[in-house]
Amino acid sequence: MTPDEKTKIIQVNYLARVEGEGAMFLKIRGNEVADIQLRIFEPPRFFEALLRGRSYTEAPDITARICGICPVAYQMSAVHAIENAFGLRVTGPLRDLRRLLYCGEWISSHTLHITMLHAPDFLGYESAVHMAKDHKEAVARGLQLKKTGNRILSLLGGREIHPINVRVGGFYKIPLKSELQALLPHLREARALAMAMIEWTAGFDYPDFEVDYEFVALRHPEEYPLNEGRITSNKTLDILPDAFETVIEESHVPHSTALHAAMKGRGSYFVGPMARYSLNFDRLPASIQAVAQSAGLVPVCCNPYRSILVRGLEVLYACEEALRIIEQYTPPPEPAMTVTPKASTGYACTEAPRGLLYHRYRTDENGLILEANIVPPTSQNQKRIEEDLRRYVAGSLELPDEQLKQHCEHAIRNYDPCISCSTHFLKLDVDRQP
Amino acid sequence: MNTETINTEINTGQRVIGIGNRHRGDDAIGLILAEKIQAETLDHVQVLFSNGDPMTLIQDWQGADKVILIDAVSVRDAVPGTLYCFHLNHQPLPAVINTCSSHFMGLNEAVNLSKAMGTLPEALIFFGIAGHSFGLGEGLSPPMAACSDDLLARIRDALKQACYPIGTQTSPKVGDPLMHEFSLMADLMKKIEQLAQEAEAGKVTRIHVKLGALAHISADHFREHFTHATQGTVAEGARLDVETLTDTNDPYAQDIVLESIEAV
Repeated sequence: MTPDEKTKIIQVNYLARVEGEGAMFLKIRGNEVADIQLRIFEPPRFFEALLRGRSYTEAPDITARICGICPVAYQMSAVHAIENAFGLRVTGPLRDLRRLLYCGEWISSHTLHITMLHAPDFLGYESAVHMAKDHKEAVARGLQLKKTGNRILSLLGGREIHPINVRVGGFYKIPLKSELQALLPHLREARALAMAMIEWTAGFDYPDFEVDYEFVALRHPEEYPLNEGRITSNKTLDILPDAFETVIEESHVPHSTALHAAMKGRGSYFVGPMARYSLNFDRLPASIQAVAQSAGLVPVCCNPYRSILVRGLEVLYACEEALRIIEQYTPPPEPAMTVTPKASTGYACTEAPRGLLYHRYRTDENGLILEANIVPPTSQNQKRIEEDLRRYVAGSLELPDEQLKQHCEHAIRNYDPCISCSTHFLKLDVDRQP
Repeated sequence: MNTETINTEINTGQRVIGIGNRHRGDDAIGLILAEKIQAETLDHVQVLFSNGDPMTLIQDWQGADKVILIDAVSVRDAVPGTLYCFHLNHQPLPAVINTCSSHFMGLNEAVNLSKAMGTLPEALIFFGIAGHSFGLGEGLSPPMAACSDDLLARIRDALKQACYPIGTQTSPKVGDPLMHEFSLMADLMKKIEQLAQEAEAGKVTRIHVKLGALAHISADHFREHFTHATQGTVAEGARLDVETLTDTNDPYAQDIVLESIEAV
């Protein structure tokens, strides 16, 4: 850069291949990153206000509309939080069916991101459509895997997108054992496809980029976490979901319509598949631990580029877990447990495909919702993404702007940000001055 | 609505895929028409039902020679029951046709992906039927119900035709893109009248429009409709300049852009 060079602003239109709409702004002065902002400009959607005055029975269906990719996560956090308020605990086959439904969402959501959004970055293609000519088999495999995830969603949720069969206390209708068993051959095929997908991504080139994250994820005494557990981190955090707001603080920054979250007194943290995996490696079956190792993953993964491998591993886990649940399934006596509303406050966190999803509801004695608070995973990761990008860009300033932009887009996709959820990515501006 | 399980390896021939949501008023029309085709048990015609997820549709149409997709569409100012027909192998759906799509991928992207994978049927034909109301649990609207037999006849006709030759730009002969122009013109006239009113003009003397390369209407065809549409309006007798664009990558390639009007 020469001193007399003018301000340079480079603009690309909406960044493709992320969920929702947003932009990234990068201000470079000389050899320093002066500012970096993940600008989320999708209008805020006011879901929490929309829930006020509604019956508790409506919460799973209203909140499912927050995201078309992970509606089940919203339904699960909603029903668990309300059940927590009413002192109800759903156990046995109903609990298993919820876990199975969540497995369907993990398979569909992760496969979509791995195959259609993230893989083209590693292989140097502009999009999945460009990649499909040379990697037909990989794309077909992705479509097939997603379809199997969708089969679970259809059977248990009533339909694939925005399922309508989840209620506080259980389900409206439960599947026949025979209907579940019909999924078995598809899931066995999916397990093999997931293995092939992991093998494919294990062959990609991964940049050396390691970060000392504070990983935050649920931890359960026995299971790899989906629906329940304590909120834990690799840096001494260990709380119940009801203490979430005492530890996590949300704040508004002018450049984003999604609130930023930070841990009080500690700053940014990181939720999602890498956090779940790194905090719960010991909860994975030995067979899946072995697959992780053969794919080049260590038990604590601190390289965000390798998140694609972790997602693949979670797809494999979800297939295995779905098979296990179906094989040992005995139908529950009733599709739902009896629910008795009361004036109370309930809290829950579940593990959405993109990470920890917190819900809180305050209800009156009839179960009307007086207040709701929802903290999605992408909101929680925004600050961390900005910090990682600042470090990443600082090491790549010598790159021409066009290349720098491509690299930034790739880096952002490592986090699978769901801007639809966090309000909603992406346009990238580079402002470079001497 | 569940998508039927199919083995894409062995199913060739013709396939009809009804798309929609049974509980959302006129959005059920694609499913209802597909059901009627299914009841006729035509040889070599397989019928599937879909909620419209484009990634699933890629798998649904794979392996067949000719596929007809039937879906309700929302087109501003269109007469309910208006049938739009597009040969997706040769032309994308124009922006004026709104189908429901998730954030990530729409029908046009699904067609491109399928083409890149080499799984696009030789003929993939989209029948979009303009809906009137899409409310929860409403059932078909009376105007939609009234024309469903006629729509069914058109789909039957399309099925009877042999495969469409690859590489040609001919639309299937099922009534052309019926009335498509009507809604376009209605929209354009509304805008022209509004502009004239704002300018406090009594008469519009000249109109300049640009036709996008993928606008699905020729300049001559446009002129013809324009003459009809302007009769009795402030723009009757106005000179019409039509500029036909050729860049298919232009962001407005699928649109008709009103560039300017002159009024007195």
